[in-house]
This record gives sequence, C-alpha cells and structure tokens, in this order.
Amino acid sequence: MNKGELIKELVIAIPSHLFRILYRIDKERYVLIKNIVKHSGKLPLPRNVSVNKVVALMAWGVIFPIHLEGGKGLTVPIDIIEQFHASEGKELQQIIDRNSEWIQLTHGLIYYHGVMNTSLLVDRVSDLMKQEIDFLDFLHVFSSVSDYYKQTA
Amino acid sequence: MAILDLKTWNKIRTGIAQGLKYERELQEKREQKLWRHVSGSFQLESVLNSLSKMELDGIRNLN
Repeated sequence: MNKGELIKELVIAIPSHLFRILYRIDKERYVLIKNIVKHSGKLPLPRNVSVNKVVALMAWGVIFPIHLEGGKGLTVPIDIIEQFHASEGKELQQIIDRNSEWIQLTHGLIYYHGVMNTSLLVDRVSDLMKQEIDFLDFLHVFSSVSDYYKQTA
Repeated sequence: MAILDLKTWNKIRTGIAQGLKYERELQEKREQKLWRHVSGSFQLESVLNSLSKMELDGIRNLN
C-alpha cells in the first residue's frame, strides 16, 4: 500500500475506531486530549509530556506533534475532535477510571513482586478490585500504557 | 589487574565524551524531526500527510 492509499485508509479508520482507541487509555492521556480539544485542537507542549510520550502519542494516531507559533505543540485534528465529542459520556469515563485503577494496581503489584506472570497479575488485580477482568481488555490497556510510560524522561 | 597509564586513560575518556556528544546530537536531530509543520487546516488528512510512510504504518498496526 502506498502512502496516499494508507492516508485514505487511516482518515476513515482512526475516527471510526476512536471509541475503541479511547477504551484503552488512562486518566493522564484522557485529560491531555480533553485539554487539547478545549483549546480548539492545538496546545503548546505541556511540561509533563516528554519526547518519548509524544512519540507514543503519535503512534496512537490521535495526538500529533506540530510546530505551533514558533514552539512545540500538540494537535488533535478537527475530524477527531468531532468524533471525540460523540464518544464522551458516562460509559467512557467509567472505562477510563477502571483503566487508571488497573494501571495503579499493576504498578503496585510489580513494584512489590518484581516480576509477575501475566495471568497471575490479572487474577490479583481482579481480586483487589473485586470484579471480573476480561483478559484481552487488560492486555490492550497494559500494552498501550507500557508504550506511553516506558521511558519517562 | 593491569593499571591503565595516563595516556590510555585520557584516550578512553575522550572516546567516551565524543560518543556521548554524538549520541546527544543524534537525539536532538531525532527530536527536531518530530515536530511537523502542518499547512492549512488541522484536518486529519493534512496531519497524516506530514508523517513518513513508516510512521503511518506504525499507526495502522496499532489501530
């Protein structure tokens, strides 16, 4: 597939899969998107967003690094903003809260145990939260979060 | 255990300093390339156009 064809595909795929993409993020990234959207889709680079985080955000296809008034900035394209407004609501908020809790508990458990088998980790998080966890959902959230937090400079 | 003479020690120090400087320069170049100029409106299509084919493939694989 050449670059033009790839862009055509992504222009349709990213907005239509946005809810699924947002379904995997935590509070930090959700707050960042909301903040960019609130500023009409363009925001000077916040101090807490490292270059490594920017690389992970770009690979995600929702937030992109741009030159903004001579400095570094982040943008959420207009077509994604429209879809973001349509995705927002109680359901998404609950998922973001759940993901953030999974991530915090996972950090804590790995800090305490050092290394953990993934299924054991999911079982422990499930016990602590007193709720069933879909293994695949957990893996998607975990994979997304490890790309974003792997090197916080 | 062999003890390094001053000349060898200085060569090693210079080598390490040059290596670190090169690594820093590479990192700066990589970072500069990250920030794109997007012309026109900030539509998804214009933003994606500013990315390389490899970066677009990365987005496609993640989504």
